[in-house]
Amino acid sequence: METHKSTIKRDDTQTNLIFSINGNDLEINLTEDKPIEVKSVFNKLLLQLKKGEFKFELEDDKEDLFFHISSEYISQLNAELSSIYKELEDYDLLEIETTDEEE
Amino acid sequence: MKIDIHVHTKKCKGGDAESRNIDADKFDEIIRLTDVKVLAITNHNHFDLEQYTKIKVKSDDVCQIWPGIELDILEEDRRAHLIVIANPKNVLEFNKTVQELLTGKTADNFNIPIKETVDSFDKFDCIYIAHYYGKKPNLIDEDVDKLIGLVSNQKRVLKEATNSISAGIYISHGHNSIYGSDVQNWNDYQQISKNLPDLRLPVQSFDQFCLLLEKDISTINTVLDWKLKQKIELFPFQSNPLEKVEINVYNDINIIFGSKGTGKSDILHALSKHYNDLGIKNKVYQSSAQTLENSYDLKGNYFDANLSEFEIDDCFQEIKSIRNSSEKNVTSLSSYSKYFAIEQTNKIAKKLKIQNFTPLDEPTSERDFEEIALSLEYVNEFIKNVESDEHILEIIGEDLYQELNKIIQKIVIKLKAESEKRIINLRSISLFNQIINVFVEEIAKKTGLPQKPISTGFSVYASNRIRIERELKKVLNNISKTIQPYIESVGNLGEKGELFCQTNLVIQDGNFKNVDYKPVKSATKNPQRNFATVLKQVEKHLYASGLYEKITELKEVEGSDNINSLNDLLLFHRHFTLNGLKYAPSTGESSMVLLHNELLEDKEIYIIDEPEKSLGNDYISNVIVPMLKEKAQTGKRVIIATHDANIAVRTLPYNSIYREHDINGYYTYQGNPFANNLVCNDDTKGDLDWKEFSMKTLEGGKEAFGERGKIYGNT
Repeated sequence: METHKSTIKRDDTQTNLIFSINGNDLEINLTEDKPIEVKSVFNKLLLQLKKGEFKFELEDDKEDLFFHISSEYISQLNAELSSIYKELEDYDLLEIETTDEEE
Repeated sequence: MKIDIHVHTKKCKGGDAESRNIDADKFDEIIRLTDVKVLAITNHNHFDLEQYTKIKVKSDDVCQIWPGIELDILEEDRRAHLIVIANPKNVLEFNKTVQELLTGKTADNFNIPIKETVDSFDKFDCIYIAHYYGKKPNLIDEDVDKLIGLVSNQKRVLKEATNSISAGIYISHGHNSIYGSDVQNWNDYQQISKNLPDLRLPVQSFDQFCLLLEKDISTINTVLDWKLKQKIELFPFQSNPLEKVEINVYNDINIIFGSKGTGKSDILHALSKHYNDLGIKNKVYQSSAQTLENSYDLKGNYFDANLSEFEIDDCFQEIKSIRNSSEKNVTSLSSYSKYFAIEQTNKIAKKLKIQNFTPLDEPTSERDFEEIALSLEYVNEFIKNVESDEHILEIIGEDLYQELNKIIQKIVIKLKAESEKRIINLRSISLFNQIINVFVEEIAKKTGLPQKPISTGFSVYASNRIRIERELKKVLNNISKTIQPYIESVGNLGEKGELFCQTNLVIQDGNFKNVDYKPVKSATKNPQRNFATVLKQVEKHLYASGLYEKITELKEVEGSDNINSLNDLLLFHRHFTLNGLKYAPSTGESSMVLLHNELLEDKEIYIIDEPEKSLGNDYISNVIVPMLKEKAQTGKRVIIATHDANIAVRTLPYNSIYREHDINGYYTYQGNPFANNLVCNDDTKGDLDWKEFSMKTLEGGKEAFGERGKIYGNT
């Protein structure tokens, strides 16, 4: 199982949780509720999961609020990624190519 | 049943071919390959009692052997051949006479005048068959007349023709005629026998044949009595409901003929009703009333099909589920910020570590349990089937049955144990997750602080999409399946080949376009195509944010309310094919095939109105007449109203019903070709000549009567 890096990008206006997968960064806004963006990230995670099981590891040295949020979020997400990978495996849906991935 | 009244079994004369010699074994072997049931051994100026007896004994179970001789007649320097066939009962005396006549003579130098022939043989109850006209050397008319004048029964004198055509001509001119093989080479006999005359009535003895020759009505009835006869009283006419028609129906061919407008069709319909009322299902076949297109429902008015017939899933549940699916929400990030922004101050709450536990993977555990539950269900179903099938115990026996039971029980115990383990696992996980949830909720309530999120929502969100993908995959997989065309034989179009009816079925996949195809179910073509097209587009958006927009589009396809399963996407096209290509049969070809199929059906009663309509003489003679004769041979009741002599004469009917109309009303006559008369049912009119009225009333009568001669051998 692969381990991908996850980081917290703190700006003046907003803070994002970054999931880095194979050179692509997927961002979740931690300061504002944007469920459509979250779903978009989930879709990409799901497509990635079809190619193989992985998990995220948070790399951050500031123990602030965003660190706690991200730490908990990644912990829960990792458990869910594992569960969904098993589901994809059970239903023989791994390595399925889709033609119109969301940009 | 074929007859051969002119058979050689020995080379007797110098000019005879060696290939005429045959022994009893070979004779028997050849005859068994033919349909010849009566043979008269008529060697040249010779009769071999020993050979006759051997052949008769050897082949007694397959054919009748009659004793005879082919004599060289010398009458006023005229040489001719005359066949004399004796009643087999008199064979010993016949033999004695032949030997006496031939004493000191050879087959080559023997000859005998007509008077001496009659004086010598007439006492043996003989039939005389004179070589005539084209059959050389022949007796001239004067000699035949002399023979007729000398014999005790002039009906016993027949004229031998060379073949069926000549015999037909003689008979149509009032000469009693028959012909035989005059076999030259026994190796050819099987082929030759195919052209020998047919004896319509299955005579079982020489005497019966002679009675047929007599055309005595009682004799004919005696033979006809072998067939079942049913007297039926009908009131067929709406215009005159009191007019009664009584007819006999034999389990053979029954022909109704007469001029147009004499009520033949009404009689057929009344007969049909009569038999249907008795529970003998039948219908009147009328070629004009139906077309091949209707018979095979080419427009598909009554056509229906379901994918289950082709082992294709109709995906009803999947389509329903996709249509009804909705997006799952994800956990908002603000719920995380709220929770972590406020420090948990409650000391007890802080001690409850359970709130920090990560929920366990419940869906995987649930699938594990469902898997074993399904296996257990299969095994239980198997047990149920075995228990309900009493034949299994009967066939495999008690010991094997018990052994099977023991093994199955062991399997059940194992599966139950595994099932129990998995359900415990599932329930534990479920309980654990619920506890986390309850604690998180309660802590939030008691402390007044925000609730801790226990899931990002990814698993629920992803599971929902995975379900849609699975369902869609199944639907599209089934949509892409090919259904093999259903091809059924329609009939034979002779040299053109065999006509088939082909039903093509396709599932609309969004790309299929063909104006010939029609929907099988109530959904119309455009909604079918649009629905399938959008369904395919849904697949492209499975893991895109536009998925639910596409699903909404699917639900809103105009006219797709009737599309609930893949059955509703079925399209069909039915057509005829000939040699693998689409073909539209002509009216004549349709009639051919319809009548042929009517006769191919295995029924007790065939009631056919004017089968000749739209059909050529060749087809009637070569295909229909043999089929009708076959029905008669198997004892079916075939009742045909016809104007066609090919059918009325060449089918050799046991019963001819003639309808006549004159100024005083309608009359029904019944008779048959053997008696050659037609008797009025109510005796108000005298007998009619069957042949005369058949020839007069039926189309193609004269030609058919030429043929009739070879069949009856007598007129």
